[in-house]
Amino acid sequence: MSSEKEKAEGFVRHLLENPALRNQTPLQKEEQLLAFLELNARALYPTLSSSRFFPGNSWAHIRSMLITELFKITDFALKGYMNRFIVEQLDMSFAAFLGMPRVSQEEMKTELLKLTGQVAHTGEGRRALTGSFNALAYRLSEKYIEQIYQTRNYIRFELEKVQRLRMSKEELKHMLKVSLLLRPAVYLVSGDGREAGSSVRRQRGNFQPSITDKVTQGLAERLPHFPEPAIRSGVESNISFLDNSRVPATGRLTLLLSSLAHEYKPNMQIDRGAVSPEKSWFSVARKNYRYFGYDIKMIDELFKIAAEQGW
Amino acid sequence: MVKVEQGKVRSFFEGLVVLAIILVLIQTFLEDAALIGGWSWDVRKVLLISGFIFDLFFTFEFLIRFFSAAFRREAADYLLHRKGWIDFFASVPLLLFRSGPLMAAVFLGGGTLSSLGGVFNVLKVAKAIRVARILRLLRVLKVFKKIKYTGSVMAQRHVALITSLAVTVTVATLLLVSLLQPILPTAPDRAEVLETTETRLLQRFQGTDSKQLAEALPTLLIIKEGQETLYSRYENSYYRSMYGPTDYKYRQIGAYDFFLSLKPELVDRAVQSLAFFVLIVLLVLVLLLYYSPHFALTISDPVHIMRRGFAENGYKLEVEIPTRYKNDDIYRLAALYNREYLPLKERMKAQEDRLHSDLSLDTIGDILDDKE
Repeated sequence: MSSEKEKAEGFVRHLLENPALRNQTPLQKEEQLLAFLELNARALYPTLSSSRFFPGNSWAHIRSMLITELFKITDFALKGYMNRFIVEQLDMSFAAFLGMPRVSQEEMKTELLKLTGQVAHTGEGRRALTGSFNALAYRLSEKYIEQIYQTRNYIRFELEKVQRLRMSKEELKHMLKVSLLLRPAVYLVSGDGREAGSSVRRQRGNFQPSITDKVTQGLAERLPHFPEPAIRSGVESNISFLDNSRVPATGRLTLLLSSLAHEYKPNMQIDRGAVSPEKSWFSVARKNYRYFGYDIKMIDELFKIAAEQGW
Repeated sequence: MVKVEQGKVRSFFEGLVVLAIILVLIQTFLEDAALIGGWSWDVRKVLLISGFIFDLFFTFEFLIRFFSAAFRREAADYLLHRKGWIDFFASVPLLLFRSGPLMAAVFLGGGTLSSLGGVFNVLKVAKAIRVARILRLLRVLKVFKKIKYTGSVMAQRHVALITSLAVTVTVATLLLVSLLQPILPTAPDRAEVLETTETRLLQRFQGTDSKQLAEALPTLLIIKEGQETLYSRYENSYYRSMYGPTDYKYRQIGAYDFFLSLKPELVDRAVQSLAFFVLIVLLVLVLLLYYSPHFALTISDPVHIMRRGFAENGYKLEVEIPTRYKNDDIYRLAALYNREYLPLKERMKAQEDRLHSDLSLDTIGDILDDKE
């Protein structure tokens, strides 16, 4: 049995080391492998059921063994990254500007770490975590907030004047990171609330606005040291801006960055004559803003930033 | 195993052909440059012999390709669609009408051309040699054929076609003008004027005024009366080092034998040939370095991006549309692709939850191919 586990782990590791997946985050690799196994089941089964691998096993059993090993490998990498990121890099001082001046950073971090661990173990939550995780790993919030603060346009106005975030640029970056991490947590406390008749979509803000209070309250119970606006930002990033024009600017930005990052490929080879990846993404998102519930004015500004920066 | 061996032989042969094509272009240039620069006969002889070897090599190459295609019943396809006609015109006529007769002249003496004239006609043979020179320019196309200048098969085919047409039309025009020159009502060229002047002056020669004749006729090298040399412009050693059998002509008028230099005429032809050579090379370079990238940028690149967008689920880069070309059909199509297809693809993907993986069976072939 252990030999089968070793073979499964070896096979999964071999696939993960494939150059096509180089530079991708653990969750991206996991999604790629899951899709690969699904798409190529017929072609893989003869080899994987041969005496070299798992003779006499059904595809369902082989698939299950491979997925178990894949999740173990991803979990290990994810846990390590989250520990480093939340404990060492995340600065919770933004909470002071949201009405919680004396909150303990350590307690906030412990709660967040526990919550992300729980999210990673729910099917849809894990899938939704990919976009947020990638946005953090590729430092998208940092690079876009820098530019947003330089250009002083719509987004900065929305953050400072409408949402009234009276905090520094650096603190805002950290708040946005927390918002990104809380976005998939909606799946932890919401069994319902999805659009009727649809399966859950990772990239689409398809939760109904009516659930926000209930989900925010549910999350606040799990995160007692977190300021409510931070939780609401993560939760409402799952709501279409067209359904609720009061979604906070950080929530709208969280949705855009998480969606952009979901299939983000750093150092992607750009074909000659093609538009750069992020500019392309915002251009397509602009045409689909109604469908995905994006704030079109934000997309316009981010599109300009991506175009000017050659991103 | 046999297939692998055949592949190796084929790739060695192809490599050899490419090397020969590059060398023959250098040889073509040097052959003309040697005449213009007044290089010694020994050097020019080496160049002429190497030209003959190249013509022989390319004739064999053509015959091998032709019969190999004919064996597979693809002779017409080879000649018409795989540029076999270039292989033919850049080899067989050159061997028969240029380097073959020249080799005969070099090794059997200058009189060979005259004796060939006995069979055909001296002027016709000389003219065929002169005209055949132009066909050498087609070899530029042979080099072009071997260069893989872009990844797009469509771009390669279109640029190859336009280059072949441009070079072929230029060479055919030059060839036609050369062939029609005798019957066209044009002013006589320098060689014809020189020949008329020579005849008039040589006929007036009385045996005593050799120096005057030499001054009046710069092409005059030697005057002989029987075994006695009446006049020689240079020392014998100079003739040996600088003149070959193809560099002079011999005329007998009355009791006198005259040896006349052909070099001014040959230099004229070499300058002309070099100018044509440079013209063709520049034409090909412009097409290769300017037109080919232009074609790739404005046609095959947008097509490539759209093809990837259609074929690959995870590919969603837009086509960059240059303002100055936005009304081109291809960019109007690209605008539709950007505006309609990519957003639709994204919506469909979200709706259907389509699976996509950057991993493919091809990329993990090693593990699947391993034998037990």
